[in-house]
Amino acid sequence: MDCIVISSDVNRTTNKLLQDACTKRNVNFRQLDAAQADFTDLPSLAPGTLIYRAHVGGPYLTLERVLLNQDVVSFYSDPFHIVNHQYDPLTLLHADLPIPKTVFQINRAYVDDAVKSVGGYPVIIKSMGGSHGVGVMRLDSRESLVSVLDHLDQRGDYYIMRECIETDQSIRLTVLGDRVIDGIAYHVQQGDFRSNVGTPEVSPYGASNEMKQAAVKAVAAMGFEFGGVDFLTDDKGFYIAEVNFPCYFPRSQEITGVDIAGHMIDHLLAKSQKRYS
Amino acid sequence: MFTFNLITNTRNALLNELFQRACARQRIVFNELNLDKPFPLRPKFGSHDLVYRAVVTQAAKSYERSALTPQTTTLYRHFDETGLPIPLTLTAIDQALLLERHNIPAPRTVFAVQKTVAATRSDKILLRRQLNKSLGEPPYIIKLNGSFMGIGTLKADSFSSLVSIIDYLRDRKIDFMIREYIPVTKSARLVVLGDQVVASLEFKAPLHDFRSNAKGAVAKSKTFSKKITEMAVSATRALGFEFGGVDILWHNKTPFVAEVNFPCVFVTAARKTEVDIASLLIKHLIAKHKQTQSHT
Repeated sequence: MDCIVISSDVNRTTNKLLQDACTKRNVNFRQLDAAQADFTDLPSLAPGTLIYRAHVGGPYLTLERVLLNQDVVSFYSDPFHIVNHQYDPLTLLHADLPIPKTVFQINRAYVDDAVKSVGGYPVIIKSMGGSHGVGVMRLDSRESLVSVLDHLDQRGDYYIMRECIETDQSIRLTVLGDRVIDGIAYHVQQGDFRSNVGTPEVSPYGASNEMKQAAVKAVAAMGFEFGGVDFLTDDKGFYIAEVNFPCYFPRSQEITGVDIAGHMIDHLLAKSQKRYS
Repeated sequence: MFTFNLITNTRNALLNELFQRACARQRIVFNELNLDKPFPLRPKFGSHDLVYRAVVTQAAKSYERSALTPQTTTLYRHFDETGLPIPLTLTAIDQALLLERHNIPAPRTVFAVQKTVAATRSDKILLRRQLNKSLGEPPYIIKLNGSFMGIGTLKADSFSSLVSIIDYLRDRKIDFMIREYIPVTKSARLVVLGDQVVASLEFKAPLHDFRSNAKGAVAKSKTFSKKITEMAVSATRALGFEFGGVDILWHNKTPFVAEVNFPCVFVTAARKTEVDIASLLIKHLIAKHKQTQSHT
């Protein structure tokens, strides 16, 4: 049995954990780097080969899409479903999951109404395409908001407006199949409202059943069988900020000791065996 | 017979028209080098060519540089060792640095900060302390290279807002500087030509906007004190131009040069002040040409 991990050396910790997990299970680990790949001569994969993309970004996604055309086993419930992350929050909303109040398109003539609808200032503007909190901006006044929106509109960036959830931590639950296998809390740093930027302070987190159910439902709604679900909490409850796939699980694995990489390979192996036995 | 060469584009239609009329009045040839239309690819300007580039795009700058010769008359003050005019193409950051070097009063500025996305808690505390010391407490202004009419001038009301905006800009590889926030409701635009201010406007910021020159700002003709006009002339000279639109801000009655715009689209200034800036600019170039000829 082969396991293809589409990845680069930037993801070396992820690669190492998955490689070790494969070795323990007598699975051949093979890393494919889209930046180095010859797309005219891609490997022919045996039916049931396990596949996981650990790297975000255009060529890596393309390589994955091309390989998914073969008879492989992945964390997608429908491998031919194309995910457009611009619409992730809408997918969550349609699945009746709690997300921060969001305006998905801002007509500048109605900017004050948009702010009102998310609960007033401060507001969060999330410019799509960043990761680890990059592109998530807190704007405290109309003057600040308008100056930033002028710039984003001039660039043609797509962005959404969200209510600012005042919190001192965010939660990352790692979902595999129909269960949460791990939970950690990121603590907000002084001088930043974002908890997952820089060198975050992290601790294990025991989530409520309600939160776990929401996490599983969110990952399924996105069409995944694996993912990292980010929650924001305040005194009113919890909100799903986003679902991450691929997700950087080594931090969780390191903090809690849960063998997430091993569980991932086991899940794919079971799926492969079920399909081909 | 002089030829006035205007490197321009179609968006400058009103400005182009002002120059065309001014040339007709002065009976000189108007050559519109409109980069949105077919144009001679490699012109070489001669001794009777007067040149003004009214566009800030890189293509326009390159085109101008490729066509200039030591004989060309421009609005640039600096020349290389062969006598070729040097068209300084200054970013907002270059400008701020030059103004600072020439002791022109400008808002307090920080030109580079550490990458905040990977910063530790103690790094952020240090950065906050450094900014407080250099620029005072928030709010802060983040000024991007290539900003115009207020677009690209961002306001961060708090430190956490600032770092989130910085992370976005760094990710998109956009250059910026951070400045102290000067609470203004009014600003001035002084059009400098040679050693004098030929037209000046006062701008009133639109409602709920800190940028007094943003879309919707109200402009009216106003004459300013000698101190202000001298400051505008000095700023234009410091940047190596003989022409420019100088933006002035006041904080507690203390004036600051926010920026010098070259090229400067002076259509509003000409209309509000009823000064024929286009004709003055051409006359200035002709006078400069004659003065240069008399020296050689």
